[in-house]
Amino acid sequence: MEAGELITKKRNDQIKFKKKLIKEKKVLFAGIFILTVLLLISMILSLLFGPVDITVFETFRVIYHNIFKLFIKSNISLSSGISNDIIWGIRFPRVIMAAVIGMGLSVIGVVMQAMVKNPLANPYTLGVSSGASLGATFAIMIGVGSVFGPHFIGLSAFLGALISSLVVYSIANIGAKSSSIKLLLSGMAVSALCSAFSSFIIFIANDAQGMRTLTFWLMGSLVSATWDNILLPAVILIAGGLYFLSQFRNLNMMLLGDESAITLGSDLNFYRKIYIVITALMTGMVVYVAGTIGFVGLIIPHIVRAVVGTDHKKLIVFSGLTGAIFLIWTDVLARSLLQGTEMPIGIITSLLGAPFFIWILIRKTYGFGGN
Amino acid sequence: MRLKTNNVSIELGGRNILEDININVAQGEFVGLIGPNGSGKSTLLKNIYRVLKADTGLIYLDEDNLARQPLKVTAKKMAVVKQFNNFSFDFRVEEIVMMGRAPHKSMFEFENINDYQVIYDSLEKVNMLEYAKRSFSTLSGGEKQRVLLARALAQRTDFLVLDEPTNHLDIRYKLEILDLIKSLDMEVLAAIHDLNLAVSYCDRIYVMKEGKIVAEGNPGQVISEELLKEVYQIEARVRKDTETGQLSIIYLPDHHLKSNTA
Repeated sequence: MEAGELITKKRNDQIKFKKKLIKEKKVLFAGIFILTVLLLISMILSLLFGPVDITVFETFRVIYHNIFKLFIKSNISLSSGISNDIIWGIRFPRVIMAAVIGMGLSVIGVVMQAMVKNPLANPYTLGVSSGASLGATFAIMIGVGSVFGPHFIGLSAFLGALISSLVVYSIANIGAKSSSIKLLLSGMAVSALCSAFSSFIIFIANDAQGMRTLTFWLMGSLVSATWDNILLPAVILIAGGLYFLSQFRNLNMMLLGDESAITLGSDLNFYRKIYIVITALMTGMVVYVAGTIGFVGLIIPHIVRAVVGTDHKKLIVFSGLTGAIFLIWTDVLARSLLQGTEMPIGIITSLLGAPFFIWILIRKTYGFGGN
Repeated sequence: MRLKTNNVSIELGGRNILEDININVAQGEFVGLIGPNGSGKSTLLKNIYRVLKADTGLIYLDEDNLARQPLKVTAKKMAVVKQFNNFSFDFRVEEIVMMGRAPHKSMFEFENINDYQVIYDSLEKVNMLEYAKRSFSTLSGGEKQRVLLARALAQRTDFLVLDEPTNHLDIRYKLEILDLIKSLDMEVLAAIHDLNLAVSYCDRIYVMKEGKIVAEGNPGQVISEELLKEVYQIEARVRKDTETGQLSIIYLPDHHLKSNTA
C-alpha cells in the first residue's frame, strides 16, 4: 500500500515536472515568436520612411506586388516607375541590410564577450575596426585594390579586418596558450599599430577629398545597399549566426574557463581559433558593406542578457532578433533626422550607445574580466 | 583498477615537477593526495583530468589510455570538482549544472526532459534543489561549491576527481561536502589540504614531496610524526581518539616547543 502510494506520488511529481518544463519552453518560444513578428513589422513599416513621401497604400502595393509577383489593380507604376524604384530598388534592400547587419553585429558581440570573458567587448575589440580603417585608408588614399572594381574600398577594408584579427590571434597564441586577457591586450596593441599606419598615410597623402570620403566611410552607413551587394553579406552573416547558435554550449563554457571546459569535454583553445576566423569574416563583411557601426554589438547583448540571462542558447537568438530590429530603426533615424541629407548611422548608434556604456560602467553589476 | 598512472613525469625549466608517479585507485576507493604546497599534487591531478600533458608516462582510466581518448569520452567517465573561481557573467544555478550534460550532447542537440531530470536529481543530491532558479553569484561559498558538485554529478560519471575544492570553505561546509561525496559511492581521487580531513575521509593516502610519492597506504600506516616532520617540516603529534578511533593530528607551534625545552 505504502509502496503504491509512493509510486503514484512519484508519478504525479513527474507529471508536474514535465508540465513546468513545457510551460517554460512555451514562454521561450512565445518570446522568439513575438520578436520575429516585431522584426517583420519593423521591416515593412520602416519602408515608409525616407526623403520622398510615398503613401502607405502605395508602399504596400509595391511590396505585395514584388513579393508575390501579382498585380493588384493592374497598374504600370507597380513594376516600374518612381515608387517601385524607391521602395523596391532602394529602401527594401537597405532594410534587409540593416536587419542582417544588426543581427550579425549583435551575435558577434555576444561571441566576442564570451571569448574574452569581458562584458565590455564588442565586434571591434580585437583590432578589427582599426584593421578595417587601415584597409579603407589604403584604398581611398593610395588607391590600392582599385582593380577590384567599384567595391574596392569595402573589399580592402574587409581584408584589413580579416588580417588584423588573425594577427591579433596569432600574437595571443605565441608562447603560452592564448587567454582572454592576452587576446584583449594584443587587440589593443594591433589597433594602436593600425591607427598609427592610417594616420601616417593620411598625413603623407594630404588629400582633402580623400579624407572626406574616408571620414564618411568610417562613420558607417547603409547607403550603399543594393540588391546586388546584399546577398553575400546576408548569406555569411546569417550562416555565421546559425553556426554560433549551434555553439551555445561552448560559448557558455568559455565563461567558466578553459580548464573547466576540458573537464566537460571541450577543448576551447581549438574552438577559439575557429570562432576568431568566423567572427573576423562576419565583421569584415559588415565593414565591407557598411563601414564601422559602433556600439550595436555592445549594447544589444547587454540589454538582452539582462532580460534572458547568460545562457547562450537564448542569448544568441534574442540578441540577433533584437539587434536586427534596433538597426532597422536607427537607420530610419539616420534617413529622416536631418532634412534633405542623410546622417551616418554610426553617429546615431554611438550617440545612443556611448551613454549606455557609461551607465553600465557606473552601475557595475558585472565583474570586469578577471575578478 | 579504475585509475592507474604509469611513470608519469613532467619537467619544467630543468626541474622535475613530477617524477615517475605511479598511483592507482581501485574499485570503491576514496584516495587522498597530500603534500605541501608545490609538491606536485595539483600538477598530477591536472594531468589526470587532462588540462596538462605529461612529458612521459601514461594514465589509464578503466584500462583506456586517456591521452588517446576524445575529451568528451573522458568527460563521460570522470568528473572534476575544482576550487571555485568567480565568473564575470552571472548564470542561473540550473544553467551551471546543465553544463554537466555537455559531454552527452552533440552540436545542434538541445536539452531534453531527461537532461532536466538529471540536473534536478543532481541538485537534489546536494540539497540545492530549491536554488535552481537563483543566480549563481548570490550564493555563499559553500552553496557555490555544492552547485559545482551537482554539475559534476550531472555528468553521470562514476569517477570523481577533487582538486582541493573545499580549501576556502568553513569547516562545516568542508565536512558537509566531503560527507556528501563519501556517500555517493563513486571512486574518488582527491587532493586535500587539511590533514585531519584527509585522514578521516580517505581509504588510502599518497604523500607527495618535491614531485615524488614518498609514502602510500591507509591513513593509520602513513601518517606519523616522523613523516610530518620529514615532508612538512613541522612538529606534530598524531593521536588516536580513544572513543571514536579517529586519527587526529595536533600541530605544535614553535612557542610551545620552546617553552617546553626551556
